[in-house]
Amino acid sequence: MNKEPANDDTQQLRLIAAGDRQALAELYERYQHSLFSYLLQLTPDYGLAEELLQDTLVAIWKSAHSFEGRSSVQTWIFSIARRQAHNTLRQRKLPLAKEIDLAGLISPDPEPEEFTLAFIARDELAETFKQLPPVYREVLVLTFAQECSYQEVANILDVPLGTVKSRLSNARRMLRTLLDARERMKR
Amino acid sequence: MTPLSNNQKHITDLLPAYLNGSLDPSNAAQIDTHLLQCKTCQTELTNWETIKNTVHFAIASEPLPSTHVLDQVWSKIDAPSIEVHARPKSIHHTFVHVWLVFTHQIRLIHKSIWIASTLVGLFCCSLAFIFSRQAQNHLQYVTSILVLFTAVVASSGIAFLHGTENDAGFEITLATPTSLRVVMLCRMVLVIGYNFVFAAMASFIIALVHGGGIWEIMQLWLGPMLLLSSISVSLSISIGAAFAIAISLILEALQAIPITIERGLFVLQFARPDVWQTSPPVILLALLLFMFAVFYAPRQPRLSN
Repeated sequence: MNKEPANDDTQQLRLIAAGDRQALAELYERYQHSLFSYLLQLTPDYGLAEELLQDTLVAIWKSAHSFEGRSSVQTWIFSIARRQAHNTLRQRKLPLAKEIDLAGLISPDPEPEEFTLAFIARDELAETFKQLPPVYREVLVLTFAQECSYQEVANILDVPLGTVKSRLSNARRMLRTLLDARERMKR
Repeated sequence: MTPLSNNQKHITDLLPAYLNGSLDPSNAAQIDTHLLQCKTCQTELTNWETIKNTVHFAIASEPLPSTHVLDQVWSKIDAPSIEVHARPKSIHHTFVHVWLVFTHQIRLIHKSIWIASTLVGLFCCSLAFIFSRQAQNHLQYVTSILVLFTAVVASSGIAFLHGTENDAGFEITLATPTSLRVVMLCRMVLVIGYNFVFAAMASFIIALVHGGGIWEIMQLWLGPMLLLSSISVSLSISIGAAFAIAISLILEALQAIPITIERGLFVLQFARPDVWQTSPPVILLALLLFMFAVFYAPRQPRLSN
């Protein structure tokens, strides 16, 4: 998890609950990049991602008083963002790939020593990462960019802890599948 | 976090958590120890490190949100909440609504009802012309046919107005905010009105051809038609369309058969022709039965099937 001072965030939410607009502006300043980059994993549409960001902030403003501190503020904020995104995508009938639909696309798990990413160019890896389905990109972003624990990722995604582990493993396998496909295209 | 077991072969599923620093120190220390002796997990750790760096690299290249996001947020927060105030409906609005419901029932009512009524009307008109040159006593014959067919067709049509088995749009009707009673009332007015118009036209032609007052001919069938239709719709809603039609036909047949019964079954007494006249008690009884049908329609148990 981002090592922002948790007490600051909690205090910030108390101020927001009391109607302090400056507090919301400061919270936004702190989370704008991480939240926006997370939302961009869920939709490639820049305008829609920005709309979702706005809706997330409005939802934070309206529900700050209901924050009970059972999770960290960051987990709470990302949960709201994800809920906003899923509701909007569902309402607009935009594709929302489920993990079960992707099972057939992933290669069988290779022996770990047979699979080495270290020699692949960074740009190629980044391009391949962007080709991953949102369900895998979001779990990777939450784990590595937001540095969330498995339990925090599970809370944000509203899935069991075991699902977080399997999703990470599947994300890695799918990355390999896509890299293999690119390799075959080059030949 | 999941504790590490001593005999665990590989710890690959914990490596992402190990890399992002979210493991507690004791688990992290166990992974350190395991990695020293496990080449497979070392390779896997390298892979996860590459993935981690890739995620950071990809995220860093993502665009920032535009500078006016907060302005948009404030305008959304400050926007007055739209509250829908229930305004009292004007008489004009109510009239238009009922008119729309009324006219739209024409398409929903089964087509055979319209066809049967039309055919009966035409049949009676044809009979009037066929017997127009005949003797005066044929007037009674023609009017008897008119009375018989008008009552039977109207009561049969009205038995199939309502219910899952008769109405293709029944579920949609139930799902709309329009009251089922209004729908039933509109349909009854439509079917009875349609039969009334055709029977009145036939009466007019018969009066024109054979002579006699149009009202005298109309009162021969108006009362029986209303009473039989009201009985039919009430039975249809409470028991079923087939049963309603059967009873209607029996009642009508008993009138057609010239039998004289002084004391007998209630049905036979009720079916006596002198009971079935256009008289205030008959009209009142018909209205009461129609009201029963309209008010009972949404409560019938068969709706829950």
